[in-house]
Amino acid sequence: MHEMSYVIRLVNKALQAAETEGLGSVFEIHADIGKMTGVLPYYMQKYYKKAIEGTILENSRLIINEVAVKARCGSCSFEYEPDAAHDYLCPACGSGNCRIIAGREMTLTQIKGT
Amino acid sequence: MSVKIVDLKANVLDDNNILAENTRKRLKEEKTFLLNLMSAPGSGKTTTLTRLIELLKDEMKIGVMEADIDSDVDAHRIKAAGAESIQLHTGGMCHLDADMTTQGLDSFDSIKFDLIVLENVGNLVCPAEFDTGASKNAMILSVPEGDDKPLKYPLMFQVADVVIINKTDVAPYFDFDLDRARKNIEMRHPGIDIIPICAKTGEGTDKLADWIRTEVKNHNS
Repeated sequence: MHEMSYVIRLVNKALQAAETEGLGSVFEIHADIGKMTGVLPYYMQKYYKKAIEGTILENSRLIINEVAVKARCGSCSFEYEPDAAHDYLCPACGSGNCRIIAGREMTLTQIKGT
Repeated sequence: MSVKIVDLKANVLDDNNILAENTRKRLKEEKTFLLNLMSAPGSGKTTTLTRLIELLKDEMKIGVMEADIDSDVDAHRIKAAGAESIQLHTGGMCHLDADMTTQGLDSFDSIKFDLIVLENVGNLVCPAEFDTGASKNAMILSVPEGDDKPLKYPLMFQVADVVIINKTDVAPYFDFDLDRARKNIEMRHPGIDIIPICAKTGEGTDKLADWIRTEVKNHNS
């Protein structure tokens, strides 16, 4: 359900960028979406079609690049993808003291248009 | 017409994050401490809030902003306990964002309060993702939900500054192990404050009131 919040923000960003670049029509936009956002690409796509109606993004495609969750261990600096098999802890030293360095992002990375 | 490809690196949550930072600054200037209270529905937010209001109302002016889709905080109970409350219009959203929070603060005249508790939408997922601009985040984990919740909703426990474990009186009936809960919470957020309470009997709520006193003092210094 929070996908709608993200879609509206994403479309607004793309519209701003298109205006800045002087584009009259956009046919493709690319976004990095971290897996920790809990956003489902299926619903992003579904709401995207609604959100772009009547804008210069109408009929454009949304290309999603899913970004894996990555953490850096605060105890041993090891970088890893947290997984359930290790209780999401550092597989090198077992510490839970980590910083998430990727996987929470939602970034507009590219627009293509004329 | 030639195709133009524009590479960007635009964070979609930029606007929200900037507004949230500005709201935090404003609250600091106003000397109003905003506590974002998150939990699953039915965790005992109203009872916890009324206990806190009873303990703190003589030393600070308290307001409550209710955001639940159909709020489970009874405005009459909040008023009877000695605080003002307003209902935020979230339009059925699954979370609050900085914009909705700031609008609420404006219409509530936030400067007149020392402490405002923002009752976020009952949900352990979405509210953790959107910065509201609150001074601190608190979350309530109630015993019937189980001591494994920190493992299932890691982000919520990472963004929280304090975890309140409520309904400790029924722990024996729910196979809830307080030590295991602590271990699971600390796995997600090492060094976090954990305060077990029973809002119904009042047990432990003095410690929670102390936590708020300290945070308010730090916020205003």
